[in-house]
Amino acid sequence: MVFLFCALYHEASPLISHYHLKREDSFSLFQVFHGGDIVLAVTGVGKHAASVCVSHMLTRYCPSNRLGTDDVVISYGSAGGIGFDVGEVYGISRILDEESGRWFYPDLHAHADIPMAPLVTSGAPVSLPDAPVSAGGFLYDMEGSAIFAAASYFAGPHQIHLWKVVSDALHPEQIDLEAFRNHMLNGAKPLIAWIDAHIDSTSTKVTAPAEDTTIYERLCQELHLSRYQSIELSHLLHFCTLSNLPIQPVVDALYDEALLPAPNKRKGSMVFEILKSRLLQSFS
Amino acid sequence: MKSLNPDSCSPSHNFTMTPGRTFDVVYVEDGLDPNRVQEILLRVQPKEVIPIGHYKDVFCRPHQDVVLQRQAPALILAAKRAPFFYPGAPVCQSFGNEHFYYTSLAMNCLFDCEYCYLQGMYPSGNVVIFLNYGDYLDELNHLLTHHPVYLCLSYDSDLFPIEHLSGAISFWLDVASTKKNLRLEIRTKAAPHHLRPLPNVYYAYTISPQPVISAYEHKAASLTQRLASAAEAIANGCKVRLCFDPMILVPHWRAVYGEMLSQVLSIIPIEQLSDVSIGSFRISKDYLKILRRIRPDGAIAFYPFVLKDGYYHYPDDIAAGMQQFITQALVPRLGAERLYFDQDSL
Repeated sequence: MVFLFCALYHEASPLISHYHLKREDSFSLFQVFHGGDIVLAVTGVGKHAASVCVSHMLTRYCPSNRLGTDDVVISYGSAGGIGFDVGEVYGISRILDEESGRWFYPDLHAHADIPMAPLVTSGAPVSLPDAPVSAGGFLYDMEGSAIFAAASYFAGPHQIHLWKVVSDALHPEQIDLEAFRNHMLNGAKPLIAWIDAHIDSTSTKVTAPAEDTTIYERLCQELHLSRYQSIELSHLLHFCTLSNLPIQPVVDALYDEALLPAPNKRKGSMVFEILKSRLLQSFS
Repeated sequence: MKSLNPDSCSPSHNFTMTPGRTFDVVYVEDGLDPNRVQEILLRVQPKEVIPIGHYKDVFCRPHQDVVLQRQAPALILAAKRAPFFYPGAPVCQSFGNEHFYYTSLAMNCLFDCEYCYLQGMYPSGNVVIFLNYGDYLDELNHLLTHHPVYLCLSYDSDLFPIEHLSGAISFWLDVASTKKNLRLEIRTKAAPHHLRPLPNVYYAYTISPQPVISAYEHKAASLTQRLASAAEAIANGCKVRLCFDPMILVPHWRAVYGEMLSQVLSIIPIEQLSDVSIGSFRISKDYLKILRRIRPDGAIAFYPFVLKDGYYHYPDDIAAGMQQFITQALVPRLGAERLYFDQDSL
């Protein structure tokens, strides 16, 4: 799944349109849109809203409280900053939560080929002339650190990505809505390309060969294996699969010799040892 | 995946730069020597340089994907805090040295060995290089006032592939050249050239069959390259140790290891080796659990090991058979007194 979070509907709009996402009526706290492998939520402005929204969404979609290996969380939104071209899109290399002074670091290996910038997340809008003297070179927003911190409970740093489009040079009052929409539309293009490539790569990913679970379940039952022995058998079958060792002929031979099914637990353990030694014959 | 030519590392009098970019992202801890940092950044030429307060802010983040990071690691430049030296672990061989320590000059490695215990030990696959060797030296001098020290430099990283950045080997060879009661071991799976001969420095090569290298020791030097490097080091008067450790159980292992031994015996003047260590694969219970989780496609970790004193080993008869196989081939030319074994797996 790709989990997208935007503070404002105007930030989310290009993504909703491109992916033809449909409004999910089952969510009452936030506007949520869904389509295929993509879920988008409009968090509202500020750190509290962002934290609650991310937690709410990921809890709902990840019952195990852990994102799947191929899942990603993406924050897409606007940010102000001095020394940046308005309309340019940046990946975020590190995030400072201004109130707590804590830094967050996303992994950058999977980032698109776009410029990177550090981000400061503030509890209130930052505008000149009140911005700190050291503001130059930093982007400012009001949700980034909260999204990263909340998502970190569910995901690793390689799964959380922040994309920011520069909306202003710390003059939020001067933002023109039409220009803002255009900037968000243009800024979404490289993000869409990145998401498409991500979805494509995960759907074509070569996974480790999986062993036949039918054999495993049958052997556990017919050998009367304990919980510990069952885990041992699972690892053994996995080892054989990865090592290209034939399993089925060895099991079939045990049936031919009437060793399977085992009549009781004691005999089962003996046959398990025979199975092990035959499967690993080429290693002895 | 970045390519790395192990031959390009020349950790001796003259360093050879590794061409091309090794790391796209470099994190730099506050308070480091700016000249050292600048020098390294010029060599690495990363896309991104990110300042950090403490290396653990990046290295110890929760839920990192170690395997993914190892494919394209970031570099973290940092200063190590005390302690700088640790007593050798019980599963590591001391080669008869009483005061056996190891140190951590770097964490993680540019090689990607599927069975490496570091994957279970560290929460990150990124590479950390510590730069404050002067602090290490202060503690070492203190230790040396009490007793001689046998120090292994490369337990937590293969230092040769990062030597052009860290300069660690060069620094410690200089230290060893001035301290007679210090003995160093530098272990590697690379194939360095022009090694500096010193009477108290052991260059220890991990020797594995080529099929094992190809399957499990990704990015490391080939067997032929390692043996050529070891032979050159012996010819130059270096003390060389061959480590048939860890021996990995593979189908028809006698044929596979037999082929390797033929190559070793034909290239290496065995009589001139300082010593040889022999041991089959073993790993702590906790690290194996992590290894199985993060590398579900790695066959080695799923072998039905035997648990003994908190460490997983191959069954005794198999481990002993593997060790004897190497021993019988080497004893006639080296003598039993120069063979060291992993006693726990016998």
